[in-house]
Amino acid sequence: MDPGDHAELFTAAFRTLSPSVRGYLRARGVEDSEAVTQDVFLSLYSRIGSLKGGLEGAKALVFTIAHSRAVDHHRRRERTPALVPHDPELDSRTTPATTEDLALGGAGALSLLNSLTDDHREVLLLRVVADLSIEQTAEIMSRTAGAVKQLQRRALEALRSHAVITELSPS
Amino acid sequence: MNPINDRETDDHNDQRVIDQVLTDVDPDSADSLRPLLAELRTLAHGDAVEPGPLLEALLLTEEAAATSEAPASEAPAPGPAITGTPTLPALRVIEGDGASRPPRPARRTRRRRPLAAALVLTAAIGAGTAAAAAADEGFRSTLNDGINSVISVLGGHAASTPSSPPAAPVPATVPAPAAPSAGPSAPASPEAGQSETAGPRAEAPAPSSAATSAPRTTAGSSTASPSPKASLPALPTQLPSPNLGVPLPKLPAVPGVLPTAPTGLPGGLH
Repeated sequence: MDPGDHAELFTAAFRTLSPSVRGYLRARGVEDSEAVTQDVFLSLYSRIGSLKGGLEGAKALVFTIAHSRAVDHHRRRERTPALVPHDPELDSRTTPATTEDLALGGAGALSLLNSLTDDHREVLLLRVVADLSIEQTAEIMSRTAGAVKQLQRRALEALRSHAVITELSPS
Repeated sequence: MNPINDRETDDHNDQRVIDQVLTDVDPDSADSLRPLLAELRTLAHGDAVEPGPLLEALLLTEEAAATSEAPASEAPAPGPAITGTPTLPALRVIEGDGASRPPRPARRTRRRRPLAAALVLTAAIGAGTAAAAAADEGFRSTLNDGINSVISVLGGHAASTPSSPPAAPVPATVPAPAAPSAGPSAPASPEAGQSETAGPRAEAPAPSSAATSAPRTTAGSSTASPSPKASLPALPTQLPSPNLGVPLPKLPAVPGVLPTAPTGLPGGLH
């Protein structure tokens, strides 16, 4: 693969995958998800010479890097002092809502995800948001394919039970 | 591309992803999970990330990507001025990837850096030395003394081996007045000048007269001063040295004393 093909593949990967990478990082609780998304693609550019599989291989590699960055972010946040939670009632600033906020504001999909465990949330994000296969998800999570299938089944059950609880609870 | 077609493609793709996730789930649970997974899937369809300056330099522009993807038959299509501009960002990206031309000047400067530093250091040391020499009188005098000492050492070695005339100019102040003064004092004064520099070693193979033996004792007294009698002949030799050229008329009186002093010394020593 010549440098021209590398540039084309990198551009196509960024245009195609950057929204899902940012959504994945945002759902993982990374604070500056846009900056980390750019960092992920810069890391992809340094490894694109040894990349195989075209855009599908780039997708697996991009989400592998994004998973590592999210893990690093949470480990770093564990070592830093706890941040003060933001109270919207006391905040007088007004900002326009993003499309993700508007889309997820009603149903509370992010809040449902936050109610899951880390492994359940990770497997659902990699399977649904990143559109990775069972094998690719298993490689990123350092598990076997059977373990990922079992984990996905339990994650879906937990998601459904939390959704039922949320619907039944008074708003 | 048409945004409506994109949306249809995204919807179709979302349905495919959700169906894949719900393959092993029973139909009742799948129906309740489908809207939740569809909401989760919206996370993948946000706005495109705005690339930063570093990332933007690595990306191909849309026009350049379109021209690279388009076959060669579409290249001569009637594109007015828009098709020409995308080549500039594409060229800029390739220059960044090549990395063969920019490092060359850096390598040259790195190689020449020690040479330039050595030149600057040498110039600074030279300028400092010149400034010190111009400002300090003592520096120049010590420098002259050092040069004179080096010349005297070299001249002393030269005089010890071949003959005495080359050594005479070195103590030019002392023997010069003595030479024209009198015959007997002439051989004594150059030897006295030699005794200050070369010592008695050079005069040892010439024990000819009493006049030559007298400087030997003076040299010995100047270094060790064995007895008060030996200091007596040293007085006439010291008298011309502080006055240098001024008391020239007094020198003729010295030879009258000198013959008496050497006669007394050997007698006193023996």
